[in-house]
Amino acid sequence: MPTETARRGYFDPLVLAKIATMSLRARHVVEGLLSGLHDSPYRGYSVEFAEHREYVPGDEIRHIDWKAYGKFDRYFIKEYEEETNLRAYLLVDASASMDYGSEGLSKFDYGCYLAASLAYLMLRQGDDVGLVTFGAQVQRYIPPRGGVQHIHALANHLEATRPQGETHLDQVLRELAGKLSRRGMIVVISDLFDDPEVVMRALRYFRHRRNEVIVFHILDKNELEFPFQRLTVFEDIEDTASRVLSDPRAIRTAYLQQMEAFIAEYRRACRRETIDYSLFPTTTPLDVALTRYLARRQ
Amino acid sequence: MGLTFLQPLFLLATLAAAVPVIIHLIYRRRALVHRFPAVRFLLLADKRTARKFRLHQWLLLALRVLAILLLAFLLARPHLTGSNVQAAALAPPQATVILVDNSLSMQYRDGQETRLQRAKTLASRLVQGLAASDSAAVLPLLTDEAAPPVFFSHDQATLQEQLAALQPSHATVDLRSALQRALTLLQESPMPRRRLVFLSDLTMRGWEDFHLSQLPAVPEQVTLHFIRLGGPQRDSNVLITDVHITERPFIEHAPLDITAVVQNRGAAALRNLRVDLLLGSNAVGQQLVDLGPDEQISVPFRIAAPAAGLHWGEVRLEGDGFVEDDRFNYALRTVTPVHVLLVDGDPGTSLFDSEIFYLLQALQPRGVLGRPLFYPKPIPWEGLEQERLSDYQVVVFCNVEALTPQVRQRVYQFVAEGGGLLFFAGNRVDPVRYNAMFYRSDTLVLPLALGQPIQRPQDQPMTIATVHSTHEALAAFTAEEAMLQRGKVYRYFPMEGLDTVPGVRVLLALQDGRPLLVDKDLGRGRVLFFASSADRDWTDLPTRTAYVPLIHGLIGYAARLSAAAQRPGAIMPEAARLLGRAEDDGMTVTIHTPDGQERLTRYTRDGAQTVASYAAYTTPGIYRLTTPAGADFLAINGTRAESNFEKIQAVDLQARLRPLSVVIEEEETLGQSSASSALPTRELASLVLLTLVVVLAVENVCANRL
Repeated sequence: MPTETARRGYFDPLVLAKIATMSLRARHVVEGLLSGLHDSPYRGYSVEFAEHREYVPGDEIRHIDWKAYGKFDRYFIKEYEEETNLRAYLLVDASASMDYGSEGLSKFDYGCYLAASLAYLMLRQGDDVGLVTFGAQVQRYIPPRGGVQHIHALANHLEATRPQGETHLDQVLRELAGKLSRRGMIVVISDLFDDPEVVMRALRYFRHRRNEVIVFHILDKNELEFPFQRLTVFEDIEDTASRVLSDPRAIRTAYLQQMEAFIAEYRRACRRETIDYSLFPTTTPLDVALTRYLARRQ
Repeated sequence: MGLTFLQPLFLLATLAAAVPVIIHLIYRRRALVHRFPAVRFLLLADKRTARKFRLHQWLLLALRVLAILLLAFLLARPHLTGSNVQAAALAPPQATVILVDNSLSMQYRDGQETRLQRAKTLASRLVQGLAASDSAAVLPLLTDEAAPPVFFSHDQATLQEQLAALQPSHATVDLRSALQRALTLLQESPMPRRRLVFLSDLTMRGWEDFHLSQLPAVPEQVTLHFIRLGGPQRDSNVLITDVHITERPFIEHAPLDITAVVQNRGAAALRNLRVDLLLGSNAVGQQLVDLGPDEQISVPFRIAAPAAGLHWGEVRLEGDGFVEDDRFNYALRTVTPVHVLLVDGDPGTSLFDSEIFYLLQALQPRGVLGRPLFYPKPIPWEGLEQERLSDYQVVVFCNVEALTPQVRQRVYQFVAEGGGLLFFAGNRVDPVRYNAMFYRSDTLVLPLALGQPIQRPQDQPMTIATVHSTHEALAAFTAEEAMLQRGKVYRYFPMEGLDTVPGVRVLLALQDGRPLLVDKDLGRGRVLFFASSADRDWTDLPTRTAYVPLIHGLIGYAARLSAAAQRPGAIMPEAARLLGRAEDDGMTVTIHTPDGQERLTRYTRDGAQTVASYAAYTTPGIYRLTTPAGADFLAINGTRAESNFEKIQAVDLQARLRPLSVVIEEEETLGQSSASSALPTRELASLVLLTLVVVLAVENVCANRL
């Protein structure tokens, strides 16, 4: 059994960044997490037989029922009704503001690790997982699919995505509303740098359609603590025309008050809408995030 | 009420007030640019804090600028000209004579500035404090005779210009005439109030024999303000009073003894005082000396004489408050050893039998440390025709019988151009032939005509009765005339016409009054005739102790070695006396001063001497001379009369100036004493300092509240 220190290293985002591919990172996290749990999260799930149908070219040979062939001398395909518990949509913010990171790891990197790990975990549980990356609008939509192999498609896309543009989360959610016909789980991974009221209105819509909504609010340590000392020109990542020259020591208290109010507003609104809200600085080990998801899932 | 500054130059430091602004601009330019996602919160926060922050920053900037201004203000030593000045403005007009002591002692330096500079600053403040109806005149204590007369003026700019033009002087302090000038000026003023302000270090110099009663006219109703610079205590001072060089002539590379006389004019003993000897600009010697209070010591240096020529140098003391007397310039001339041609008229069969044996022995001893003073070359009389006389400084004929007319002409030419010629008589000298050869108008080299030789009995030799020891050639016998008087002469030539021939000097005379040794100038050269022999044939002098110094003296005189000596010098302001030759009378000496000016003076007869006098010095240093005899140096040093810094005390001063009322103020406490101060002011330093401390404290609190 790994020690606590080893576990911390195991899920440390900076350690994960050294692993070559996103899918490996996801697997690394999930397997590490599951090996540390006493109860299997897969208990109670099963795959039930539905019916036979005649083989048509194009069906996988491995699904041919050889016993039926011996009995009827015809090829029959066994069809199962897979018990898919969940259809999950991972919404990963890929706006330029997510490209900020103070300790070698950007918020986007962290969000990707988290999304990939969640996807792998869900796929192993037999859930369908879809992925949406967005900025000012939906950049890419991968419809939900099951099967562990699907992780590669998701991971490849996450790896290929570069954060850019502004954030308009409300627009993205409205756009998605038209695409998501079935109920499912909406997992939003973002720094939520948008108008909280507008964002919450969109999330409320999903919630009213009886979707489960989980918000992972990703912020950098610098954004949360504002540790700057020297006179600095702060330039907005998403809008370079927006600049402010200030003495950080003079402005720090007021800034932190603004930031706390911003977070508190999301936290309060999510609680009101029974949306699971979690704030994750990019230094938080990923197992904490996954554990939170599992707790929700059960 | 006005504001003045003791150190107004420090007000330039107010420019440093721009420093915080410049630092701010530099920091602003060098501000980091940080790309940040949450700028919206910063903008919101900035909107809330910006006003307060900017106000805070402006306050900090203002406090810092104010602190720098206050510091500059403090350094400039602000003084408030107080209510007295206001009162003075309401009072009747006043005439003020500002008498500034510009004697050399005012060059004493207590700190950064000399006392004269500080006196000028104080006088300048005094002028600034004058009311519009007041008038003033600026008088230096020591002034040139050629200086224009001084009048009262209302124009502050004129007065400030006169103050700025004041220069230190090496002249002798003459308080009587200075005070007379000042008081006469006041007496002539129509103003109802009159005062004399005298800014001085008040050293005793000039006050010893002064009393106001010595002045012919003293105006009534005159107030005397004395402002003393440097305090009433005696100041320490060490000086070099003299530098002299002994053991002339100075032969190149021979040892040279230079002695500096150093005096402590202070009440404290000094240890390990450094004395440096410089030759040209090179340090050639250094000594560390201890000096008790008021002690004077000689500091000897021994160096190798530099190559033949004119040289200058300096003895220098470790600097004290008064540097003017810490240096002493000197100059000297060195020569090469003298080349002497010894013409032997009776060579004999061996050197011992030759006529020049004793002469050669006398000239060959080497000087101290083995350096030769003379290079004698003996030749038989027949070889004279082959010699080039210009290779020698002195030619000595020893018992030479005769010379060809051509040789005689060359000898005459040699002497006329500056060579030395010395005759020794002997049995081969025929007076008739000698007179025919050498006492003629075309080759007149003999000082006097010769008579027939006089032979004394062996037991009744003639002795030397008279020694002209003040003559340069016999300077060695000044205290030892008896050394020569012991010599015996058995045979000699009498010389005729001593009373009728001008310019002949008798150096040695016998008991019978007849001259034994005479000399005479011929052209630019010198001729000496010794009436007896150079060897023991006619006299026993060659075996006497006196023979060597006698021969050295004669050869040195003939070769003009006296020029190889310390060059003339003078202490300012005394006039330098430049000795010339008789023929230089009426001729001009061109003097190049150390500061690049050119002056002229002229030789005149002064009794038996030809002298050019010069006193128009511009500065101490080496003055280069162009004389008829060639180039020369004149070493001029600053006055030593101002080196004693003993001060006259207030009681003594008041006694000497009775019945006038006298206010004596010290520079340090000026303006603080009473309303009768010459410069009533109030120093604001403590107030400014207090304000500065408060400003810094507030700045500190503000800065830490960031």
